[in-house]
Formats: sequence, C-alpha cells, structure tokens
Amino acid sequence: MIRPSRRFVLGWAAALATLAIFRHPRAAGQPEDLLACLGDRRAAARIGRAALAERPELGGDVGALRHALDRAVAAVGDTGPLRRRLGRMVRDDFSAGRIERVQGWMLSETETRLCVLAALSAT
Amino acid sequence: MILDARDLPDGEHLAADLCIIGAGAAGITIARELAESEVSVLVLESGGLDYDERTQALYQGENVGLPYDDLDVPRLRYFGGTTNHWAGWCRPLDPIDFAPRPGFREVGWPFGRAEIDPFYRRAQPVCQLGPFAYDDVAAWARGAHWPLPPFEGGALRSALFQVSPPTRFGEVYGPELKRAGNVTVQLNANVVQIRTDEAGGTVMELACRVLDGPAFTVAARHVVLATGGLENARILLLSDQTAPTGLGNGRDQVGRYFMDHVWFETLAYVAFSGAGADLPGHFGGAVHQGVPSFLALAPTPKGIDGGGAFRFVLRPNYVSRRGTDSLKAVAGAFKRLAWPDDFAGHIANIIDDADVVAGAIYKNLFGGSRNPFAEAAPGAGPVPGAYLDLNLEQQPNPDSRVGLARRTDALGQRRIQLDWRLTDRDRRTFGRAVQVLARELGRTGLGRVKADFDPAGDDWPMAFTGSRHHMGTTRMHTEPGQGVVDADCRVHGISNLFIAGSSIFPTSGFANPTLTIVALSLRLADHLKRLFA
Repeated sequence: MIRPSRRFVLGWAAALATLAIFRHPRAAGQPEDLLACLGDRRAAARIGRAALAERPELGGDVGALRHALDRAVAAVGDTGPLRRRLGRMVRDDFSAGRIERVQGWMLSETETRLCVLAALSAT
Repeated sequence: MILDARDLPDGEHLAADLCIIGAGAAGITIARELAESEVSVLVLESGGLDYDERTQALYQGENVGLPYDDLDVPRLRYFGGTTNHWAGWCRPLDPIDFAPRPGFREVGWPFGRAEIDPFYRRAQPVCQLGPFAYDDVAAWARGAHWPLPPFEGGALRSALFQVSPPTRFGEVYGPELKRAGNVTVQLNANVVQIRTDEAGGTVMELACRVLDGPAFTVAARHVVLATGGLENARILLLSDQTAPTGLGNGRDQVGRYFMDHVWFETLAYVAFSGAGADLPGHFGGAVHQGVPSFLALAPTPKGIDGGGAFRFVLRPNYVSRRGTDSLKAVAGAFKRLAWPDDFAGHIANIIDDADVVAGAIYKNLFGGSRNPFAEAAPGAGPVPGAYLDLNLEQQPNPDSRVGLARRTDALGQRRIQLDWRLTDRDRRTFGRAVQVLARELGRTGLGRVKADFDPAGDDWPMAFTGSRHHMGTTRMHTEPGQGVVDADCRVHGISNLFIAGSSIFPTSGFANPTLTIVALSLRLADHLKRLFA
C-alpha cells in the first residue's frame, strides 16, 4: 500500500506542476532556451537528480543531451513557440507510451530528459 | 405467506409449480415476478428473517488458493441474502463484456448487451435506482454539473455508477411476498440434495433439512437454484445421488471459472497538474435525479486491448487545503471579534499543514508566489491529488474453482472449498491498467501518476483481495462442454433446473454484479412465465 509522506507528495506535485508551465516568453530575436521554458528550474533539477540516481545512463555530456533535445524539438511538425512544441512532445510521449519512472512518478521521456538537463546544467 | 419450516412435521412433502432455492436478490426478484399469478411458488430460504450464527456457520469453508475472505464473511445466509450487507454500487456490464475478446480466453456469453438492456431497465427500480442512463455519461454529467476529464478518443473514460440505498431485498420486498396468495416462503429450510430421475434429466425432488429439526421433501415442475455465486456450485456438487460427480457436471464444468474482481486499495497516487483538478463526479459524486451517483475511471475498448477490464476509483487528497482553510476560518472569526468554532481542530490543521500555510502567509504579506519556508507549495486548485483504488476483471480460468472439502457442516454436508487463482494474463491486465492511467492523465495534461512498482513486472507488487463478487462457477455457455447453463439459464441436460445469480456470468467486466444479477433474474422470470403459460 502506498502512503507517500505529505511533504513528499506536495513537493513532487509542485515540482511536476512546474513542468507544465513553460512561462518565459523569449525576447524578440533571442534564441529560445530549453531550460528557460521551465517554470522552476530548481524543481526540475531535483527531479533530474533523482532520475540520474536511478539511471545514471540518462546523464553524460550536457551538450550532447541538449543537442538531442534540440533535434527532437526540431522534428516536431510545428513552428510555434518552443514551449508549445515541448508540450506537444510531452503529449506525444504519453500517447506512445514513452514513459520513464522516476522515484515512482511516471513521466514522459521529454520531461525526464529536460529535468536531467536541468540537473546537469545546475552542477 | 412467510412460514417457518421448523413447524413442519418430519417427513412432510411439499409441492409447487415453481420452487426457488434461496431468497436473495435473484430468488426474491423471480418470486416477485411470479407473485399474484396462477403459478404456485415455493421459496426455500436457509435462514430466518434475521442473522443467526448457527445458520451462518453453514457457509464456512476452506480457502486453498490465493488469500481470500473467510467464506462465511462475504455472504449472508438469511432472508434477503447478501443484500443485507451490500454497498449498493450499481452499473450494467458493458457491451464489450459480452463480446469475444481476442486474447481473453473462453468467453461465452451467448448474446450481446442488447439482449439484457430491457431487463436492466426493469432492474433499475427494483434496486431503487434512477433512469437507465449509464451509457450517456456526458448527459448525466452535464445535468449534475460535473466537468469530465478530456479523454475523448483515448483509452480511458468516465464510467457512471448509481448507488442503491442499498435495497435490502428481504426488508423491502418481504411484505409483498407475504401478501401474495400464490407465494409461500419457508424459512430455515436447507436444500441438501437435488434429486433427479434415474436418467438424470429431470429434477424429481428436493431433499430438505432444518437444523435440529424435521426433514422434508419438495416436488416442483421447475426449480430455480439461486443461492449465490459459491453455493450454487456447492449444491450441484453435493447432489450426487444419480450423478456421482454432481448435477450438471458430466463435463466437469461445475465450480470452475470462479472469478472475483481483484481489488487493490491505494494502488497509486495522482498529482493533478497546475491548479489541481475540479472533478466532483470523480471525487465522491452527488445525488442527481434523485439517485446518488459517481464516476470511476474505466478503459475504452482501446484501453482494454483484448485483456481484462478495470476501473479506478479516485479518493481525493484534500490535505493541502486543510491548513489554509482553517487559517481563513480562524482569521475571519478574529476579524469579527468572535471565537472560532472548533478552534483546537483548526490549530491542529494549521500545525499539520504548516508549510502550506506558511506559503499562503508569505504570498499575502509579500505578494510573492514562492514559498520560502517549505520545499515547495502546492497548486492552489480545488484538489491537488488523489489516491487510486483499482478493481480489475480476471480472465475466466478453469483452474480457479469451487469444490468440496472433506469436513462437513452441521447438516452433515461437505463444506465448500475455494481455490482462487489468477494467471499471468491477470498480472498483465494489472500492469496495463496502470500504464493506461499514466498515459491518459499525462496525454490530457490532467496530472502525473506515482506508482511504487514496475507496472510491466512479472510479480504482483502488492497485496490484493477479492471484492466479494463471486462469479462464474456455473457459467453460461451454449456448449455443455464449456459451461453449466444454456442461454435460458437452464442446466445443460436437465429439463427443469435453472440457475440464477452471478454464478452464471461467463465474464465479469468491472461493474459490481448485483444489477446484472437482478436483470438476468427478470429475464429468467419471463422465460419461466412462458413455460407456465
């Protein structure tokens, strides 16, 4: 029977909520940054660290990870704002069953990779 | 009239056109349908009008399979049967439950949902429910002002349940049977043997006993066995006078395919996105059109994907609002120079929820949205999260079965033995249920799921139990080698013996069984009326 502690649940709920809030519109002409789309980079980094602790192979070179994410974003058939494309990638991941478990939380691959990027970028 | 078999002289012989064994939801429904007709009806009920420990003990048995309730706990052996303690959750089976499912073996409903729909409609008032409106959940939700999760086109949906008061069939319909001139109920009457002619094709007599009382016999043109999902099989197996392996058991089908809805309590947690979720239909529901009703999360055919069905019931977690609500109550009272009601309770809530309250204070004082005191503040939505309970449909499994134990009861009858078994396919249904849930909540942006196990694993990750829904042990199938009763609920090979109740279900879906039991009993009653016409 699962009885996560209240603090645990609240903390994770807040951290997960930030992933859906891509709320930093870029200035005109400025390249969009994946991490700038995160509402709360610290919370995302926390999830990323948890993911890396469970699956170290998700880590590696920050540049390579960022490049892989950039390529995935570019592959989305959408020229809209980055945060919208990321949102679509997340939905597509869930639809296709591309789900990663991080401390029991069932997250999309895109979310997990973004969080890992946030964790690696913060160190 | 309602009589007591303890008053019968020893060796008495009773006769009726129709004898119904068992006065639960099924037996009482059939008796009511034939009340005030030309047909003489005799109902034999093992118990009295109230619970009696010695009679109840006749239900004791052995569990030799998966852990299960003691067998005298989930069912009740007195007038009204198990409706004397049922919870009242009602819903019909879905059309897909009747249809063959690739990968879901040995499914044998010989008709589709449309065949039972008219009887479901008639069953609704019998169970003191509202209109038969389960299939148009959107209309029901609109009327009840329930927002629905945006699952259109996906693998999950909202499924409507109505909740009976719950109807205690003995209390509610007993007076009706008492008044009916053609119906006699004999209480404390235990059927110990169904006897047939030598060829085994026609029931000639029922041998009956009263605990510490007389023995008597009953003859009837037609007999309905309606003693519940476990006991129906037991009585057939015990009736071995002309058929050594039991009545209707020439093909070794009686007692097999025992099913229950596998129940997992607090299986997972969902954290709703952003401001939380506002889904009152899923958070306990409400009274709508005069009937309490609520929603569960259930799979669409796409979500079932050839396996078993399932349902999740959400139990909202309001914890993060408790402290802030209490803080508001206390502050409001102090502003009015009043002492707040339940001050101690509010303080306890505030202390318990200190980090959330701290965040709220900070927001009010400094206009910030970040909580400097706690790790993180939750969204301020109506419900930040919910715990999930899961019921899943197990696949019909011939090795999951009811048999007879060596030990005997107070009537000298061999006790029941239950060997409840699940298979790898059921484990896969479990994993798929969790994965579908996580996918759909993520796809729709509703939230994220936390499950402390690998859904795709091989082992059962946590304890489970049955739901006290005993089904399948005398299942319906057109082929005698695949089931016990035919499409008319008649035991294969026996001209005048019928079975009512959930033991005839070939599959179980995710709906609680009582509404279907009543609907199928109404259908059987109509068939009997035609036979007597």
